[in-house]
Amino acid sequence: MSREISRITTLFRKAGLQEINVPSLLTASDLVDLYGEDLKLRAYTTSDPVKGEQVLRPDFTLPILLEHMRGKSPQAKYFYSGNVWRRQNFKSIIPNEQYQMGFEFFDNKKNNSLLLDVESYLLITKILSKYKVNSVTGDVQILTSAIDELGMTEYKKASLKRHLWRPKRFLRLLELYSKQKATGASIRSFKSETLLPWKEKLRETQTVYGVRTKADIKERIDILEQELSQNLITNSERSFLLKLMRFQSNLKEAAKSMLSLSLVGGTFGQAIENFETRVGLLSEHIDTKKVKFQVIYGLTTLEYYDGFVFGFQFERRNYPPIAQGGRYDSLCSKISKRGKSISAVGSMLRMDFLEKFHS
Amino acid sequence: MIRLGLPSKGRLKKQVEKFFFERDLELVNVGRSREYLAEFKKEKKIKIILLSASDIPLEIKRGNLDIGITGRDLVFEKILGWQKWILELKQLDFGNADLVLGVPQFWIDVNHLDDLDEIAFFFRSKHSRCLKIATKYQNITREFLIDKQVTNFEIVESQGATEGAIINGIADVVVDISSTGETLRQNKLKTIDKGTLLRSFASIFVNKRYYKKKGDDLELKRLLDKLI
Repeated sequence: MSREISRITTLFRKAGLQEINVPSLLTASDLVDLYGEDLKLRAYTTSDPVKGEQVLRPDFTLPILLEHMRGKSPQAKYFYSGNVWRRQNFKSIIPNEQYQMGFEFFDNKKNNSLLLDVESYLLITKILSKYKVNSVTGDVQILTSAIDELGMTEYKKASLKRHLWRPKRFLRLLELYSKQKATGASIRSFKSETLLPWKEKLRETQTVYGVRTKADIKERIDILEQELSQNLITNSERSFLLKLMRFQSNLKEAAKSMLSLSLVGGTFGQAIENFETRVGLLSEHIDTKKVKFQVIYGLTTLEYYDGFVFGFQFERRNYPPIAQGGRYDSLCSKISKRGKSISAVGSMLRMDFLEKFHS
Repeated sequence: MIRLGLPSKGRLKKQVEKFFFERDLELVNVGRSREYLAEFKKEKKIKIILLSASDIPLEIKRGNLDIGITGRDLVFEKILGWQKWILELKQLDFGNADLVLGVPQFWIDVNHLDDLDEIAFFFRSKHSRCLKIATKYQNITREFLIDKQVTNFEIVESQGATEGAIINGIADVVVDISSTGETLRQNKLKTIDKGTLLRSFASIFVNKRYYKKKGDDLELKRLLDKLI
């Protein structure tokens, strides 16, 4: 494997990337804060009465992002090489300790995003050019922008968007928003025409404790009550969304077919335009007809990606994707403070499976 | 000799004693009453080991006990993927208790797990910290909520008197055992729709490897015939 590591290292250096080292032991609260408690189902946690709970690095992305935020320069192209540790379930063929190489590109200029998307995809293509691989791409942005164009309240759009990564919940919400009145609400327990009884009950409440105040509860009841009388999703909108979620084709023809699904413009049109530009840039280097495209590719497995995503798979081998990556701007904005907004795209390579391929 | 682990104190101990008594297996204390030693009055070939109900799962897994009676909640919580080492031989009709989410009664707008999920999502931006859940059932809680796709929360470990955690400001929500709901009510908490994590009761558990090897053992068969 060391030969592959040095070959890839050379390719990274030639591409102008700079090596970055991050610790293997990370502070749990930093990660839980961003990923949520489910991190602890994937990562190995340790107890330390002095430093607090520590976690074995489950990926490179977050520690590199944190390291980058501490620095001054908004732009950077890093590459990394090392172990990550993740719990796997009984059937998984991915080792608990895996060797990964990869890169992360950071930038503060929005209009560089497409170029960097293309650059990262091509870099992986180049690294894997000596192998027979298939690649699949996806674009979460297309889905979120489609939701933005629906004729419903911001509250409902926001709930739909935040559940995109959880397909079961998303479909359930879509159902609820599609039904007519009475039961047509996001919250199952809230079936009445009016929430007056709730308001009265709240007014009578004497004992209050914890950080959530009566005002907080009243605010939410008001929002829910407003939602009762607001537009629900129409049948044509609903079927458009479902079609979009099932959509797949080759990369070259995807844009045209997606536009034919609906006449909605606005941000959806903008997302498709960006998508077309990206495909155009890629076409200068590769045959985009041979690249698969699936709108929701990686939605459930690539945890924090929210734009262009991609994965590479060996032909005729039952391996997990050998390389995966994509854009994760919203994760960046979650931790960027003081208006220091950055965007990012990155990818990792599963070195253990490259080695397995050779043996 | 079969090593049988039984709860050493509390209501579960009394219920287990009654269970055996009804099956003609009377338990008697050996030595002074404070010592954790007991035996069957008429059945001397079974070694009784009294220990805390929450320690029984791990001792079965380790093979220090061949058989044990304890709450399912404890097996689920203490041994992740317990089915790999432990077999549930028979579910018993006592020790009933549900593991439930308890939220403050005055959260009038929170009546369903979906409500809690929505609150949790906006909690950080509103209160500048994660929603905190106090429980001694960390593993069950984490697996349950993530399975239900609720992810924006932080578990605060709490051993005992969990219900008080909210009033004491340690957490916002609790997960605890509730058999009648009385303790929840006393602490001004309520249960919510879809907020039951586990329906628990006592069961007979056996070490899988032991059972595979000794499943035909006459002594074991005789005991199990009486119990099952």
